[in-house]
Amino acid sequence: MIEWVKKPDLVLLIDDDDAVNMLNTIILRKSGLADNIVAVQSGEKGLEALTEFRTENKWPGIIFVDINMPGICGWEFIDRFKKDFIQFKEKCIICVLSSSLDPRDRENAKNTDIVDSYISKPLSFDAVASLGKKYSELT
Amino acid sequence: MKEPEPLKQEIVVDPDNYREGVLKKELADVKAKLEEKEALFNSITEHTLAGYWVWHIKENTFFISPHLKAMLGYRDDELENSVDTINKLMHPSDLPDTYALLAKHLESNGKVPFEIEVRYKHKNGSIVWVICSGNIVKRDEQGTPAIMIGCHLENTELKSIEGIQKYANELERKNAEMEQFAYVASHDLQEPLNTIQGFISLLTMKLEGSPDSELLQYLAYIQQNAARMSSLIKGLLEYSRIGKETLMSKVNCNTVVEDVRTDLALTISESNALIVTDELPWVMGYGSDLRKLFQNLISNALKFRSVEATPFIKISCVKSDDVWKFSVSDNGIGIDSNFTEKVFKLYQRLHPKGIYDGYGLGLAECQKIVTELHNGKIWIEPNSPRGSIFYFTIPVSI
Repeated sequence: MIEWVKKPDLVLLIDDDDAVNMLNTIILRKSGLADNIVAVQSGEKGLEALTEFRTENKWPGIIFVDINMPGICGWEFIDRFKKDFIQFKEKCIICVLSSSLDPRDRENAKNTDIVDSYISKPLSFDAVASLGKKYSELT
Repeated sequence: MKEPEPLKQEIVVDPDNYREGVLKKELADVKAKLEEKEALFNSITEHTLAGYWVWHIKENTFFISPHLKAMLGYRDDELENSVDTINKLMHPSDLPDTYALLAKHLESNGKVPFEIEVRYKHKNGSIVWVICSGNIVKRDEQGTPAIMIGCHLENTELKSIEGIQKYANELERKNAEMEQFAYVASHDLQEPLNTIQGFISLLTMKLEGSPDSELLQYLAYIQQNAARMSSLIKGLLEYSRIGKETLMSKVNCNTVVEDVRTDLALTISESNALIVTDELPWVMGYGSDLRKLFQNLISNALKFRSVEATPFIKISCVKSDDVWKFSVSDNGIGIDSNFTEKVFKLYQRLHPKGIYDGYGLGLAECQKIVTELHNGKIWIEPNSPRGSIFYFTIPVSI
């Protein structure tokens, strides 16, 4: 078990596939990085959750978002985040989690300043470890 | 012959005779000018490959110039000078539009221009594209159109270029669509596979140390096959991406092979292989694809090595006419001569999975790189006493 320097109080998972959400929840719990995990199944629900968090005065330390989703896709979610929640960006890291093999998606993630990490599915314990490290470097 | 001296005449002849003389001279001038114009007209029609027609509307007589007939493959005497000839030889689908436009032209008294692109049947059965245009040149006392003259300009060559251009555009679009398709399909296939793999590893963790050894073996098989399928999908995507590099450049094949050797260093040392490379040329090509080509051929030679001998691979190149003929020879297990063509097809494998790993993509990639991207050929010959020689050609560039 990894000794985490700093653990997020809350993690938000956004993926239209509930099996993926469940898998990622288990991996995050097992790794010990996060206990409180909220999983939603669309970009819209993700934005709603963020609005709710804001009124409840809490904020997820890590946001995982899938790219290919019906309705608001991952990139649109990120654009909306920039517009409505940018003042909270310093409190969290955003991780794009995708199955896409298109190098353009990776390129896109690199060029989007608020995306901290691009991870190919499935989420692995190693990937969680490097994310945890990134989170601890957040000031 | 001496020219008559007009000055002298003017003095001698009486006024009537004088007038007649002037008229005669004017007539001669006009005739000369007409001849000149006619010669010019003939020369223009001849050199622009235009044919012309004259239509006396009321009498419905129709003259078709020999050139127009030649355009359709006929001698002047082979076709009757009549409207029927046109009706017979013009493509039936183009007749209605032509007559409709002609009617409009006449009704509007020439305001609506008569110009239309039509097809004719050539004597040899082929299609001749023609731009047919004409206008009213004479009207009767009531102002009704009496004579129309028109010309036919052949347009077949231009048409076929247009056709090729259209085809090229279509192909380009299809290619872009295919690439997009490859990404989307691979993503959608990959997605559930990733989830499966994720749960398999969770399950494996949960069952670790289970007394039922079969359970873990089943899981290992599931995991292996999911991973294999994932690689197949990625391989297909990679195959479809060959040729994405858009710029050809001078490529030093010696450097390419050197790079590949560095990449394969571990496999080479593990198999104790000896790789000999002759001096290779510079070629015009796509660097990253050529690298993949050598990589696939060399790693194939290493993979299909014989247990009886240390692998020996030789890479050489000779100039043969206007192509560079490269060869990669090995002393491996060789390829059954029945399969030397089949191996270049996508997903074709000659050996069961357990013995040699692979997805049946490597040589398909080589084939695509050589034939589609570099306009060359690739083939296999048996090596003696054992093994294979892979040959491929790349055109010699300046």
